[in-house]
Amino acid sequence: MGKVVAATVAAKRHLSLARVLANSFRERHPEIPFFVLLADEVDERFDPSKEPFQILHLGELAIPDLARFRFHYRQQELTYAATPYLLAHLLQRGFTSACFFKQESLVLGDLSPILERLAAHSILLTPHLLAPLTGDDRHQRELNILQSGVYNVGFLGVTETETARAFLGWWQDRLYHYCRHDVSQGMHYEQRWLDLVPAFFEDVHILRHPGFNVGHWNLPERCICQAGNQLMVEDEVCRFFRFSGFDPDQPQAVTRYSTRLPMTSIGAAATLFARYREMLEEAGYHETKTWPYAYDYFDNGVAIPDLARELYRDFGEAERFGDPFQTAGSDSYFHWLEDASNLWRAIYARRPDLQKIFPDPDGLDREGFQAWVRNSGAVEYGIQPDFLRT
Amino acid sequence: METLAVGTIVAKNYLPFARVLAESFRRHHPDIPLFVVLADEVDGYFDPTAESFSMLTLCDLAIPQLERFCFQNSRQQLITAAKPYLLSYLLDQGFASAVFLDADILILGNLDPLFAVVQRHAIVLTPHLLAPLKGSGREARELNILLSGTYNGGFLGVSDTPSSRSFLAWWQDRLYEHCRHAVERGMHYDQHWLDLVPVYFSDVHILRDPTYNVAYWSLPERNAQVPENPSPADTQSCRFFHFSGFDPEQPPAVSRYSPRLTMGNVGPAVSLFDHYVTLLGVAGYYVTKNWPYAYGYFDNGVTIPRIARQLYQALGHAAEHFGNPHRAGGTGSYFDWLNEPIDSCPDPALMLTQLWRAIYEQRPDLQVAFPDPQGANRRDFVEWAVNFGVKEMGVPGSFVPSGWET
Repeated sequence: MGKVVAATVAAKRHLSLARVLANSFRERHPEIPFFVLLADEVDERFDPSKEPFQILHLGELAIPDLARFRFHYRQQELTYAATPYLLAHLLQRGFTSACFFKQESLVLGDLSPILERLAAHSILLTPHLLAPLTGDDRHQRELNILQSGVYNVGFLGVTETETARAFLGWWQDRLYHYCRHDVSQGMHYEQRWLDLVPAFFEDVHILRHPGFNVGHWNLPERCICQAGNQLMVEDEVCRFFRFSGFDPDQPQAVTRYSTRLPMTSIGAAATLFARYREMLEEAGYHETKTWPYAYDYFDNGVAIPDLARELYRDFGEAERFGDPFQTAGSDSYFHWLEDASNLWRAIYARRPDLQKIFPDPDGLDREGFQAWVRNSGAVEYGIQPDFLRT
Repeated sequence: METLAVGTIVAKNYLPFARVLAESFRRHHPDIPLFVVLADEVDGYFDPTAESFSMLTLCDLAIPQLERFCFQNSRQQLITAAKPYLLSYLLDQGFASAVFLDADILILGNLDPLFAVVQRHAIVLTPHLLAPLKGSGREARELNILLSGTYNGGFLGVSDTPSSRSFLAWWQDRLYEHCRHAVERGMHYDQHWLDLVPVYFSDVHILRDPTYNVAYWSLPERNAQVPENPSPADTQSCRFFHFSGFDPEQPPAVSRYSPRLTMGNVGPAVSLFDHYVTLLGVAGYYVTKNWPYAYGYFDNGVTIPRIARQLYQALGHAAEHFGNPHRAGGTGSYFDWLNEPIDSCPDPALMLTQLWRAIYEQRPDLQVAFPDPQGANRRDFVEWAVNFGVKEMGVPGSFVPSGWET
């Protein structure tokens, strides 16, 4: 086995999750370096040198036109879209295998068997489910997985080969613009794209291990029990657990993604959730969760509406604006948005219903359309009054 | 070589496609049996014994509650949902391996290497795309594939192992009720389900060979593999081509699923399409294309509207007491029930039936527009039904209450 590295991505409001994950990993594998990519700015909220991991910044990764990339997405999407850039960076640094863990997870056992498996393959994926479901809701639960992606991106491994690099290059390209939640368009953030990986690339290993990547989607099938100080899944040690959708402030629910799973229905795993919650608390959960996300604002402090990101992403020639966060200058994207006619014209172009009601927004229907903008549009799109100057 | 059989499924309007497939297959593999499941009734339109293939009917397959299965699925759904039953049937007949081919496939070369792969694995799948796409539009094309499924349902190979048997049982169970086109819900007929197969079952082989299952979705990338004059000895060229979505009467379009491709920009494959149109014509395309689909009608000849299929499926066990759902005569039929009034409104001009209630319950827009359809909004709802509903929902006259002022 060559040089292995592990990593996650987080914004600083999720720093406590990254700390807990890094600590749990270090406990099992002190010999393997653990990196946290900060998809955010430090902004003096914490001291990176005191963290239980090595910090990486987006600027250290080979992300083309970084300002643009940061502007494309909200915090969650950006965190996800950065994954392939992080893995490519780690291979570039000379590590032979890199494994990615999603921030809201915990390492519970020795990962050596999985790391050995990874060393022998270019790409390692972990599926959400390992076998056909049984029970009355089997169709619905499998269809949910088909909507969100067959492979779970909570864990992913690559080993330095031409195939792995081709995979990362492809994934980077797709996620630059298409890391969104839009199921009817075939998108579920970064994850759904992975369904193509076994078809596109050779030497892809699908890890079918019940003790690995355990989460709400497979909890009902994986009989979990405590044996001594180890958590067992059937006959296997549970080595890696995911807390996807768990909200420490709502500890009675396993996940916000599934209403059918109360904490009382998951047996021994409930104690793990309680322990995880304590660990987060110790790691500063309630402090870090209030920290602002640096890329939520233009450089003049105005919050970036989601729509402004969408329009920018769809812009054919967005380069002409330069750094989209910068507001000064008549060439800035902000200035373009500020011209209410540009912004609302773009909205109008996306809304067949408005086109039907106000067929002539610059002429006969001007009054009506403007009234809609003031009374409904501004609220619907979360456009601050700063954008309403005409 | 272990025994192997090939099968396809058609309704009778598509019979020429099966004939062309069977002929092209026989040229290369005269000794391998090819079965065609008729997902329809013969109804005297043709003579199965005069065909160049062995015909099977749906009754030959182990489909539970066949009448229900035929009623709740549309033609397209039925043809695709019957696939795993056909493959199980062939294994049950003692064939060690079975291959499914869509009827709109043309065999262009020897398939022995393909069959050898099938015989070595429990399950063989062919992906739509074999490598990341390049060029503009690459993301949209890949997203289309993600919506419809990574692996193409036009080809499938299984060998008789516990793994393939559990795969077929699982696929049958999922397709029985969920073989629909609803991509926002994760369904694309039988096909999207296949994305789970490499994860669920052991010994699944993903066949990444550009010479098999070439179709519009991979044409720009695999043009070089499409021979202008197919020669049987050529192993580098496409060995079977899939004319998915091709309408022989709209030859400028390559596929109804892709407006991007026309005969003008499809490259060398254009001669293959020409050739295929000729073959279909000779095989009787213009004779069969209007042959009726037997399960599209109640037994009194009234077309089954889509809402009636959907409602029947939604009723589940509660629909069993109707008996055969295709039956319109006699008492207690599903047909009669659809026309039953849902309340005792005395005015025949405002009568609402079970069928119209189902339409209302299926459409959130109607619920917003007519919040009280049995009370204050009754007249408006009936007016909508008369003026728009009948046409929008394709409701035959037999389900329009006779008292309505049309």
